[in-house]
Amino acid sequence: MQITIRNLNKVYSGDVYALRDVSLDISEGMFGLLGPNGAGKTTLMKILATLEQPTSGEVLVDGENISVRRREVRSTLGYLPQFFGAYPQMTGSEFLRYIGRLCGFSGKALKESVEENLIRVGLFEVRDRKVKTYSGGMLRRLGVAQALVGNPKLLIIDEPTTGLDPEERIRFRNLLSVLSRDKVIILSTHIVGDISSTCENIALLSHGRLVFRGHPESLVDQASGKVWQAACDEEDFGMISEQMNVISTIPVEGRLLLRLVGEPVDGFEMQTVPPNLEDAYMHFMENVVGEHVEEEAGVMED
Amino acid sequence: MPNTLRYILAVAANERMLMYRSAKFWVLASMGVFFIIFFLFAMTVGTIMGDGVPGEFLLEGTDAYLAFYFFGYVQVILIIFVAVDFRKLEEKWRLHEVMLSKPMTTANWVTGKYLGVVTSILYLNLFLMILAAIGRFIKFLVIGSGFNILPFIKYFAIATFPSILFMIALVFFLVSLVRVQVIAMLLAASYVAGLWFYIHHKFYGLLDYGSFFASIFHSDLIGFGDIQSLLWQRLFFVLLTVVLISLSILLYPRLSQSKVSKRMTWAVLVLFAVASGVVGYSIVEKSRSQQQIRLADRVEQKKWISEPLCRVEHYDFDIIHGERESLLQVKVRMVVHNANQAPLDSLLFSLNGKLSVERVNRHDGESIEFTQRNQLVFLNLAGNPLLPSETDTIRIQYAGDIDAVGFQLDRLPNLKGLIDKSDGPWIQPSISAWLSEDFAVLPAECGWYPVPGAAAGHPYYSPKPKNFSTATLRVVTNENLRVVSQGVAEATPLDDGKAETTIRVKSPVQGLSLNIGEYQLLSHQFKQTTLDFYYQKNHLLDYDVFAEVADTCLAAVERMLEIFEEICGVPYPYERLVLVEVPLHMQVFVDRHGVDNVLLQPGVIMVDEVSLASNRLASKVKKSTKRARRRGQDDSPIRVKRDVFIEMVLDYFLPDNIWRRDGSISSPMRNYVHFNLDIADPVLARALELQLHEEADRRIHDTFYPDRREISFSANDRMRQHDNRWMVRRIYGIEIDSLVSGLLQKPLSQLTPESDGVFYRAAIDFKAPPVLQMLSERITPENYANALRNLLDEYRYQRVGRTDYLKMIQTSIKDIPPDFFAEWFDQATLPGYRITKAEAEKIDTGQMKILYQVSTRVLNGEKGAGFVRLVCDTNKDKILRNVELGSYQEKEIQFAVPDEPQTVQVLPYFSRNSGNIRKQVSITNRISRRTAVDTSFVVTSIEDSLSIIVDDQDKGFFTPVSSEQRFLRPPSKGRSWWEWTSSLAYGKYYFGLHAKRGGRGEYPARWETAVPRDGDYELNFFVKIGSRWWQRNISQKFKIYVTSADGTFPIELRPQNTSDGWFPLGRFRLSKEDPAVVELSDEGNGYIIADAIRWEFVE
Ligand SMILES: Nc1ncnc2c1ncn2[C@@H]1O[C@H](COP(=O)(O)OP(=O)(O)OP(=O)(O)O)[C@@H](O)[C@H]1O
Ligand SMILES: [Mg+2]
Repeated sequence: MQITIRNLNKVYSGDVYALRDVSLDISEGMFGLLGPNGAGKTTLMKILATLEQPTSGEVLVDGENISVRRREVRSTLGYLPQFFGAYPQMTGSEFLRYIGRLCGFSGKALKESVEENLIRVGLFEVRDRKVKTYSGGMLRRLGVAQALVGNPKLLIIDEPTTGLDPEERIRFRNLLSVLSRDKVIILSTHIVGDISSTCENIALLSHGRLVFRGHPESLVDQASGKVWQAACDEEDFGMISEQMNVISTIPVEGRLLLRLVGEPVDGFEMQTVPPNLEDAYMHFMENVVGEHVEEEAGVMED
Repeated sequence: MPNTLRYILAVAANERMLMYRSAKFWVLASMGVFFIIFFLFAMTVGTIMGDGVPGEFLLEGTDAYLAFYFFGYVQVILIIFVAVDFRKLEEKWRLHEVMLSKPMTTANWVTGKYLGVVTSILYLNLFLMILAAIGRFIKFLVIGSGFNILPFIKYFAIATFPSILFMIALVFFLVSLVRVQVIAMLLAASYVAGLWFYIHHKFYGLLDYGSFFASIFHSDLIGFGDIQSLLWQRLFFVLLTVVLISLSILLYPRLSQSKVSKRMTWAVLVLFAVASGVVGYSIVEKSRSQQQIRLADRVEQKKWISEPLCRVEHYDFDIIHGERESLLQVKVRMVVHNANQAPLDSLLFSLNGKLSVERVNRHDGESIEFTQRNQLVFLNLAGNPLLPSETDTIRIQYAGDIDAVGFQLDRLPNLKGLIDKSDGPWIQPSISAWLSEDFAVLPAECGWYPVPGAAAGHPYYSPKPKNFSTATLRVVTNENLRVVSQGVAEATPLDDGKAETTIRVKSPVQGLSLNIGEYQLLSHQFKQTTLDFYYQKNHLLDYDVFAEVADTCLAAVERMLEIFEEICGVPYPYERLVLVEVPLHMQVFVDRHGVDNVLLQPGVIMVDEVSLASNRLASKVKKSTKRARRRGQDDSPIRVKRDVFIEMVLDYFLPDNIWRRDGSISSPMRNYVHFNLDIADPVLARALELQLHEEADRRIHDTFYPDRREISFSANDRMRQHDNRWMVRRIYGIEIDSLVSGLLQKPLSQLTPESDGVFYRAAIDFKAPPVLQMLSERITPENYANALRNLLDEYRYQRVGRTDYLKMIQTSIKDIPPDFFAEWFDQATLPGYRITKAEAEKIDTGQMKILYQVSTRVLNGEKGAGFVRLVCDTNKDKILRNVELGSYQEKEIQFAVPDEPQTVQVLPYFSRNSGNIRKQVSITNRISRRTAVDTSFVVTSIEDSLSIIVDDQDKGFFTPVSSEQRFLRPPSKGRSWWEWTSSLAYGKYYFGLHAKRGGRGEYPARWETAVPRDGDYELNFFVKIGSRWWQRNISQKFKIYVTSADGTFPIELRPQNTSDGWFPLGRFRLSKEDPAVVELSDEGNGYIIADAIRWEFVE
């Protein structure tokens, strides 16, 4: 399956530009969408999930426009929205069975699919409990399960890991990488760590614009030599954080051990360290995109 | 395609599951269960306990049908609650995005949801139906009423099911359209409320989604009656349902998955919109054109009303009933006679519009040309006219069905200018005839046989002349059916399950009727008359409880027949008197403000199935036994059963219930006088009918229940005596006060049913019978009966007017003025009576006996002749005197009584008085020695012109109305003053007072008048605390403020009884410029009474 996004724009009423001229190719495997709040990730995913109509531009799936072929897309789609709930008066397995039927399953296949996915997300034990008794994380897992029930070719999951405990998150990551062998999986997240270990390809959105697209490593490469480690006194922290981005602060024996991104500040002893994806994201958003946005703002003021 | 179905079913199943897990749904369910339990189980228990369960609940089909009918009202409210969730439910649980990204189409989704709501409500209804069937079965086992669940299944299919479909679709549509749930809900609810409270069956029923106001009622005899047109209306709603659902799909905010499915939805929408438009239009057109045809027909008939007619002297019928292709096939041979001066070269007959004439022949076989236009048939005798006083025989062959609605064109449903005959949810008064393969009710009016002359369009005051004829009927029908008509019937079986019934109608009748049905027959030969009772098997249960008292019972009926004869002065004129059970509709029809308020069936009394089915005789006997025992009365089975039996018979002969309050519909009395005359004056006809009925009622009660409470004197009297102004003092919904004021504006003979509607009927029933009763009283009932006999001797089978009638009255007693009717019927006067004196003196007549010499005075304070009955109650007896009073005349009446007199009371036959006119007799203790006198003479009344009395019924009296009271009815109720009628109250003709629970002085009562000249006035306040209850509960102090020329004076009085009720307030200077005002504060610790204030000029 090949998804091609071309010059996609989405303007909500009130001149809210949620997507600006986004073009993107996505193929088999995991694809991560990164971006700060309001960047347009959810909007893009809704368009892919046929819930929204783009203002302009087009999305092609295997060469076919999805706004013409919504039925085909919907029948190969598993979608977990950012905000997900379920009928509280139903049990988990009832709910999944219902979703399964809506995906065209019935009889034995339905039963198997429901059970398999309940096991996958670790809800099998509580499958006969009413949804209203589920915890936040359990509900989120039910959401993942419902997206998987139809055995979709295209899986769109909007921030799947919010509310999951670390153990579940790791399990979930593994699950996705298993699934990604024969599917297109598009997931969005704020948690860079979710992506770093699993995604072949990522895209960075900011203010509706696609600002980066590529392998996570190439993002990391861009940041090499820009990530520093330094130790300072508390009095000096303010001064450093003025000039550099502080990624982490660890108090050690009365001093602070800092991880920093940016050009080093004179008069402090700093060592470069190899960047990880999170550092790279930070570096990228602050330096590359920041300028970009200012530029844009300047244009708009004119 | 199967996928589509699978999606729809999945969504529906899910929706259903959600419904079953919601509280709303269970509220709905328990309401339904409540209705079923109430209508079936409670009514069954009620019947077992012997409480007067309305007969409607005891018919086979109606209890469950009624349960569903009422449940329909509640159901819609809950449907609205449940269905408005349709769009917001998933959003509420944050599921909409998941659902909308599924491969089903929007149409699948919306249809699935719709189906889910529909099926869950449907299952609930099915469950309720099973419950109802069980209930019905229990009823069948316990009280023996038949077991038949078809009626409510039918009702469900016709009414409930389409309304569920439609209402849910409507709510879906509204939600889709306005998007705000609350607004959609309010819109739906206001539509329903508008329908219930205003729209009803207006606009051809095209807004009545539930057929709540359609004329359907289930009868055990004929089923749901005429529901043909209703089916179209139901179809209209079903089609509209599809339109609404398609619109909901199109308005659903979701990206559609393909153009094809969208187009398909549009196509369905357009298709069904057109279809429902066509159906709706055809309903409107059909009823419009039907009405137009009928109106045009009436106009046509009107042209022919003065056409010279032949008379049919004898009919000879050969009738085949119940053949599928044409239900009625008739060959009739008519002996026609020309009583006119001129030859008739064309004969005009009227015949029901659905019967078509096939052939007309002369007796010699020569065929006669004819034309049939709607209800008119013209026979062209051009070459061979019917010469004056010639008699000939004509044969007509015709066949077809009966137009049950469209006959009687002078009274059609809901047409302006005609006499109202509107349909309702419970009744189908428009159906006044019925013809089916196994049943027939064909009253003469329906035109089932040719009658000379146009049937409709005659002016109200000169009705169509009646054609009196004899007849022979030979009716072939299924052998299990019985045929009833005016004569004695004799059946002979034929081959193939048929039988021929021959009926000979020997005495001429105004009209012939035909009743056919699977009846059981009870028959008894009385002295002169055979009484036959035709009833349906399940409807006259356990009448054999009377077996052991059969003789007494039959003697009672015999006695009733004798009483009828005594009253009417003539014996029963036919060979037999028939009671035949008919569907409720046939009976209810007549009760609206009709002219000739009966379906003509000489010698045949129609008993409606409801009153039959509700007669649970065994349990009535049980209950009466208990009651008699409790009251210490005779509880022997003989006595109790006799009473129950008499009550049952009275219920058929002289019914007195809410539908047939005058009972004249069934009254056998009409057979004695009315059916043998052609009474032209409608006021006289109605007056006579009611007067005879009331007289019979009184005499029968006096005969069989001598110890019962005095039954009221007349409808008029009954109304006057009721204390509660709101509840009972109305006749056909018109209050006595409106009647009085209406009758002061327009005399009785100028009212017509067309222009005055129900007021006409109420006014006639209010005034006319008492006037005749008064006449009868003036000449004595025996003479009155003689006069009726003379009338019949003289005019039998002929037209009579009120002059003929009065002439017959005058032959017995000469002093009845010839302008008697002019005075009472043509003038708008109304007497009003007062007792001005009631005193008694003990006298010693010298024969070792003390008598009481009573002197009492009665005043007719109004213009117009008056006539009253004066009643003096002593401890042991009642003494009656009739008193005639001219305009403004006062008479003193003196008579002696052996026991101490208590009260005198005036019973007016007809007056403007309200409340009882009664006065306590005051007795002087001295014994004088003289002879008793029994006399009456006119006295001149001394009215003090310089005293002004303002009563609480007069214009100058005001009570404040507290704000919340406006919404309560009547307006005099509520937190402040309310009205009370009491014989102790002051009043000219209306003995009322205002009373109020003591308050804080916020709501004072106020009397106001203008005094004629300046000067000093003596003021009096009227208060009479007669009953012990008042003595205990009256406020100890009344606070009164009198406004005079010298200022306002507060007066505090302690109410107590004065000799005449007037309580002096003192002397005040008043000026004629300023209003004279007295205010009574409502401050007090008990009740405050406001009645009347008197200003008397002193100097
Ligand atoms: N229905 C809508 N109407 C108007 N504006 C909207 C709508 N949905 C989203 N937006 C706007 O579009 C922009 C992009 O929103 P979107 O939800 O796609 O961001 P996101 O990247 O998913 O953010 P987050 O990480 O917070 O989920 C935001 O500015 C948001 O306010
Ligand atoms: Mg988002």
